Amino acid sequence: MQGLTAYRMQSQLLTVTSYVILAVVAFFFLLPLIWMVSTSFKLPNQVFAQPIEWIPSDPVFANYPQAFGKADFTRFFFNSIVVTVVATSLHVLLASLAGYGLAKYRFVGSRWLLILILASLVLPIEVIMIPLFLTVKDFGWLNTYQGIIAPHIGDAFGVFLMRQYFLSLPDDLIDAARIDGAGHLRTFFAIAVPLSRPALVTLAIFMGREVWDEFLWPFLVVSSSNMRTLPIGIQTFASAELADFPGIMAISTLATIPLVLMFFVFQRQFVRGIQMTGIRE
Amino acid sequence: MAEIAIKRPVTSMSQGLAGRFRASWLGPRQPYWGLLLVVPILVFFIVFKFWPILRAARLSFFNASPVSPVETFVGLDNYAALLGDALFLRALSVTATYVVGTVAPLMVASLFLALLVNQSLRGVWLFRALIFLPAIVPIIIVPILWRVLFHPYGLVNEGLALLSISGPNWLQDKGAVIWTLIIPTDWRFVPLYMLIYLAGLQAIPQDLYDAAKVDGATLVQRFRWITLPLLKPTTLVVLIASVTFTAKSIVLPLVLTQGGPNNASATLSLFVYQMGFVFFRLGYATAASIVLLLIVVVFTIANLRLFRTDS
Repeated sequence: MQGLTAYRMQSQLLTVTSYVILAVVAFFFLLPLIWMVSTSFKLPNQVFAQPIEWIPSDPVFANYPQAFGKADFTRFFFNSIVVTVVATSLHVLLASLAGYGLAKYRFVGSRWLLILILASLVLPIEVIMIPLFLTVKDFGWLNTYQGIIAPHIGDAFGVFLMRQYFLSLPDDLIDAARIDGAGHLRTFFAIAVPLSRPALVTLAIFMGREVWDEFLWPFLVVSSSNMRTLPIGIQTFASAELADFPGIMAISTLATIPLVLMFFVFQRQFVRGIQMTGIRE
Repeated sequence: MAEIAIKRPVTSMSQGLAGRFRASWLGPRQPYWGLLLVVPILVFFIVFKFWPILRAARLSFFNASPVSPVETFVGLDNYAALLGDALFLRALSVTATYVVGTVAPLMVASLFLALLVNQSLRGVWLFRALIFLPAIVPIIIVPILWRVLFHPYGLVNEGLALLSISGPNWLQDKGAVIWTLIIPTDWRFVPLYMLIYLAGLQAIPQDLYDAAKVDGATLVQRFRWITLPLLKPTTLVVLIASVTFTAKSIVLPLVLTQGGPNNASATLSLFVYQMGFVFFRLGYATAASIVLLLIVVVFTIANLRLFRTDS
């Protein structure tokens, strides 16, 4: 009996300790973000004032419209939407077609094709930035949507993911559709695609977030201000208005809110997509 | 990955190569359709991945600049020059410090946090979500936000002041600047790898712990003899993924420190960028990027091998 009480007390102690540590850790991870939001409502001369006023007594809401008016953020946002939507839809379509081809057809060389595609994992943009830039420049695609989008399409991870998923679909379903006279593409769109919706959604969220977030590539190919994507626009704004800390924090907060909302709405797919990023990088 | 091996179509030996070809390509299942479905994306791989890397391999043997059409073949000169370039050697050692300094705390912290949020506590999902937030902040916000936090009078130094430590001028101090790369990277990626560890932890069967409890194993013993050994595959994935990722990453040095002061935070990827896009020494920059490629190759191959042993 005494042993049991001791055991209970020990486990209660563990629970309390866990909550305390969790609270401290969450506090430290969130502190920079809280500071960001708080500063976005301050005057420039209050930014480093001590002690820190976490909730500004006299919040300056004007920082938001002011910062937003200093650059064409509407245009940057529009560019980001175009690039993300086009790149993601094209990638999901082509990667699932290829994954289906590699999973459901047995043809000479398909194994080598898969290995070749997987080999491209060692060629991230950081590694091939110079020759990739020259290639896109040869096409005359600098400062164009297609120039920003095209290098994102050929991503091995999506092909691999979709292939693995299609492998788990029973062949009988495909064969039945084919015997009923459906063509190859019809079978793909009418049978394989509806059955693989979870994988497609995960891939779309994963890829959409990657493209939306991408900094290096648009930074290299875009020089004219009306083609900037949101990350480039934010960076240019932040380096032009070096001392306007509240304005910079206002823009940063605006850029973060949609992602946080997305995260809470699509938590499961988001987490799965992000776990993939972690494994892939 | 094991399923990559293709089941060959059943054909009798007597058909020979031509017969096999006919059976596999022109048979009723029309396997060439498989190839047709791969071709569209393959075009993108060829044009925007393989062609550029071949071009890089060639370019690294030349002296080339975007402003002059003349390219002179210089053999291995670019590579030889790299070995004698103090800036390049510096970039290698900065990258190594950055990787080790980032990955070591990342592994410990993300496992520790995963263990914490894996407990069945009331409201633990909320902590999971809150700790996770830095991982979804747009990547460009990371350097922009931390530039202000690392300001001499910024939040970091104010926090240190509470402990009566007077912090350095982080971004201008040669000795301290590496931390302005390490701390934000860990801030953003520890929550991410926490989730990956969490997935690993949740895959461990609960029976093992129950059995150990019956045998009277303490918490520490259970961790040492059940959790750690069974997490080994996850640990390797986290290790290799985070090393590869950190080794090639460029956003923080590019936006936050620009490699300064005095190149104390100039990583290899930044070196490639500066040589290529600032000094227009294309051949030289590409030779350096081939070195970066070799580093990525080694770790990616290790990564793929792990995928294979995993599934």
